[in-house]
Amino acid sequence: MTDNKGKVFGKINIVDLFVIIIIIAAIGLTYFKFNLSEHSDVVSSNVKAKYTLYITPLRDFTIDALNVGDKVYDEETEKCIGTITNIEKDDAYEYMTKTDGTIVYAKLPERQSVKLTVEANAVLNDKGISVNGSKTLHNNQSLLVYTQKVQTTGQIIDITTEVND
Amino acid sequence: MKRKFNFFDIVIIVLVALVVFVGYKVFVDTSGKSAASNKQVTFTVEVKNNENNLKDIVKQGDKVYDSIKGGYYGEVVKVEAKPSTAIVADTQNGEYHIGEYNHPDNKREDVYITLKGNPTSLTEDNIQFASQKIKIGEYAYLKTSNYVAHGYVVGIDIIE
Repeated sequence: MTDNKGKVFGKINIVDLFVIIIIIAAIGLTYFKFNLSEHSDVVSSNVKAKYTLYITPLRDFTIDALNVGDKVYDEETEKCIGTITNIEKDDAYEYMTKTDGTIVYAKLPERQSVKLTVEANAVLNDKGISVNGSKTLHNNQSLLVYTQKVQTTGQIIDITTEVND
Repeated sequence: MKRKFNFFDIVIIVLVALVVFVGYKVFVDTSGKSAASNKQVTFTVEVKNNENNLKDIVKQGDKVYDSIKGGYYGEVVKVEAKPSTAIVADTQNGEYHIGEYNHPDNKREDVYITLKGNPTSLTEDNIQFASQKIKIGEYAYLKTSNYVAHGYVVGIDIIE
């Protein structure tokens, strides 16, 4: 296969050939990782995902720094997973065990909870709802998320999809 | 004359250049937004439960650095303090309320240090000083030539 000069089929040096194969493999692996790995068995593409992130308890300065229109990013992938379209505030509560042994759900002072409605373009596949080709979202999932100014942990409590027009 | 590069060497060089370019776009230029480091940012750090008169030690104009990574944050523009409080569980009645610390000298305070500086990177997803991101809800570790302090970031403003 190689001639007496070390060239494969007399054309290309075997080391050059080895390097070319490695580089092509690396390009293919990178393309697969970033573009194909979340899209196996696509059921439906081009859907709009709408999900609710429940975050509690929060202090007022954190809530004040969250705005409709803010982009939400996933800490793990550092990719955008949607835009805030609605913010709903409510009181925050925590369980407490009383001296009589009963467990009550008591309101926390100076704390609130928020429900962020987040919308994103997504792909629906057999693994779930994939946002931005990098993050699959599920009900009951905890996410460490951030905006430009805030970082916090929320839980997805509701997720729906509708086909984009 | 023997050529220095043959055809396949050129192919390798082009492929390596392509990989480096793609790698840069994917791993470095992730936001696609240019940094606007000519804008100034103020941010406030809450130092909880301090009993060492920190509010009297911190002075406006102090140059403050990140004590973990060493990057420069900016200068102190404001210092405030108020008595420390905590959420207390009243397990008798099943209620939470705000409690104050009964220090004999009323010394325990929450100190709020506001800094102003030029971030090295200001993008749609991050505000960064040197290699340290600043986010409300995250800790910041401060250091000057005179003192150190740490606490949660409780406010960020971009000065337009």
